[in-house]
Amino acid sequence: MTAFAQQLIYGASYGMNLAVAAAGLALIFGVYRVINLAHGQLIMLGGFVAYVVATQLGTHFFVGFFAAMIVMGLLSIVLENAVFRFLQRRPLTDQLLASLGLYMVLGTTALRIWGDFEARPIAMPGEDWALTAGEIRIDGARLVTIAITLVLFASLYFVVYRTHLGRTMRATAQGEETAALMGIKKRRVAAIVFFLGGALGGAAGAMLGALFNVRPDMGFQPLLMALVIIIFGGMGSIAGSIVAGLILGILYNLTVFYVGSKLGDLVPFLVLLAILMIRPQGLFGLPDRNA
Amino acid sequence: MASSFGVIRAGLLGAALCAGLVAGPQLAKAEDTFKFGGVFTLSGPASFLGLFEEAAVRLAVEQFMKGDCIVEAVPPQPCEGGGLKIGDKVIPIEWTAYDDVSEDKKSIDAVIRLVEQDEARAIWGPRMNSALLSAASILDPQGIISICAICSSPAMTVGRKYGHDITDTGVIEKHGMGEFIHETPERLAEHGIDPALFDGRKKLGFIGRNELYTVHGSIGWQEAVEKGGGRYEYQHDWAVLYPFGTTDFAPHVAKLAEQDPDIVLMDAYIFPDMLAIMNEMKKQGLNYETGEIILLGNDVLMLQIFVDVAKDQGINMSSGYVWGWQEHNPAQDEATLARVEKYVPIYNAKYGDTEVGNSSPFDRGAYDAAIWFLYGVQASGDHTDNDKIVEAWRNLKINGLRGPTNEFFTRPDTGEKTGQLFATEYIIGVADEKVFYTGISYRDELFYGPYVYGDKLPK
Repeated sequence: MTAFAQQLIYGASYGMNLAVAAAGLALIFGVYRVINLAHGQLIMLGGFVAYVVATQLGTHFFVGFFAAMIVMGLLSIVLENAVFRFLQRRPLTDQLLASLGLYMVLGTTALRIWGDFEARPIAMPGEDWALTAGEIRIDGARLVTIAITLVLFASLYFVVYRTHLGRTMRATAQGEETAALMGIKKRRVAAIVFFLGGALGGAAGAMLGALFNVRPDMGFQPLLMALVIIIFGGMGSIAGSIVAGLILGILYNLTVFYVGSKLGDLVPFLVLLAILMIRPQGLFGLPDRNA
Repeated sequence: MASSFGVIRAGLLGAALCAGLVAGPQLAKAEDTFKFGGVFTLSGPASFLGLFEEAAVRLAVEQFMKGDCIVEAVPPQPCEGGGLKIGDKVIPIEWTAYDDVSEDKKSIDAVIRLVEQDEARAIWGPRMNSALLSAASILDPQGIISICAICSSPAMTVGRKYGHDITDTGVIEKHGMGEFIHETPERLAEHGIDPALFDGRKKLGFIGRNELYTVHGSIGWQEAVEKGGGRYEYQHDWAVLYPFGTTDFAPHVAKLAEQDPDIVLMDAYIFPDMLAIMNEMKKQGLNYETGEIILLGNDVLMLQIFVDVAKDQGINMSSGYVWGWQEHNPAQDEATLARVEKYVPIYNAKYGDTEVGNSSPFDRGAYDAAIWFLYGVQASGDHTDNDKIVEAWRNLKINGLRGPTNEFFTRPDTGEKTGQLFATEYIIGVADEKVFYTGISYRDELFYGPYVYGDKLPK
């Protein structure tokens, strides 16, 4: 029972990080209708920005964390302007191929700059202590990332559902042309959505990098998980991302621990298959009325 | 429409004819040169291995062409420059290398290109263990010689007439660790190691990335335990093999901790993976700093640079409970040191300012292997007959940068020379944050079991 509880905690902590990564992807898809595979590399680059600012420049973790969010938000706007705005009305395959190309370009660039041999730690608050209850332990650093995640989601919820900016985003998501007729500037909304999506990717990268070291291939597994999470949670649903992230993180850990270490990566895809068969709109999505 | 097809067909016919006209002289030219190709991991996550290897092989070919080989064949072979000395002719060497970008498919594409387009007679690589079997199925039927100095997989040589592994393998390495944990207290004490180091320890664990190298390593680990006759317990099924791209190692280490091992062999070789696992081990009760477990690792764990990086992350490897191996002799004889002293400035002058950096054991092993192979081609007396080349090469030894009289392993059951280097494993420890050689090494006792020699790899 102790082992089970411990895996629940580890899984919830990892799942929360994945949920942040997925929320960025979900936000961009929800409003802009583009699946951005390059998001995995924004996560990785976010880790590197946090490493450079916090570790190499010797500042506090949170300085690196916010730098990662801002830089990745801005990079995301650049990508929207340079690539995605030309793909918005193109078939899904074009979007996927273009974003896959970006994924490879960004990944190769990072490898060329930083290589893969070195380990790049980021000092994080809480890494030297842990809460224990009997044989169960919760690392301080994991608790800090959970707290950051909750703050990020609360902020995101506030922005999307309690501000004028959020209303313009939701209006654009519901009907781009109608929103434009109401005076909402499409390009401005796109820039904001991509900034927020990229910033969430950067935040996920900074947290994952601080917990597990920064490395050029660190965006791959979170990207795979994030793709499943946004389908599982309901395409474009932020609340869905949180719930699906938690479930997937816990399932991943329980599978590794109880079934087999090699089978952890199988879980997301089994979940994906099940969801597509049983509830294609995901946990929080609405059925596609056009289907 | 019909006329369009006609134009295309005519064009294709013309191209084919042109290709035929060009192919004639090329084949004739092939007799006058020795075509040698390579597939290396020069970019992507595993590039730190391939970059060293490619740089060293390229340097070896250049040195051979210049007549400045540094390392010597036993019995001696000439190195007079201009190329291979075959009879009274000097045959130039044509070297072509491709990058597999750390991808299996690109590895195989490059192998096919080297065979079909470049007409290579011998191919170095591919390094990636996952591509080895596919490459073998292309190269072996055509009798093309296959060589690797950083492959570490039995798939390079076992059951293969033309395959050559000029390093140890994951299996041989684990046999080395197996010998170490079965050492007598007297021998441990003789080498300054706590004679009670392994007392009361019974259960073994294994953790590594899920790939051919570690799967074979875990099997070798089990073989070593079986050879020991029941002093320890380990089964291959217990191996914790995490997937490529793993970010959070907590559940994998938890699975290892649940087995409650006394000794853990960590067979990871990517720094971030190793550090994350070692950090997580301490948190989950597998503490090698306090002696709760003994942590054994490979030659990457025993690199001084890794010990330094680990220290920066708060990991103490000097507890007396962390041990590993190296394949490169840390206690070199004078003649070897003289060769190394001549080689290192040449290497550093050529690559010192590049990403390959300064000379290391990785490039020296590859340099030895490349010159050794070229001597073997010469010794065969016929650079166009791969059967003769293989036979001559395998019966040649080399006094190299890694030490004197490197040789291929001879199967005890058939007396045949295999393509596997008769490698030695040197046991390394860490004290006062510095790696040191214990003075314990193994060779003959490591070469047993079907994964080291056999007619084919067991399923």
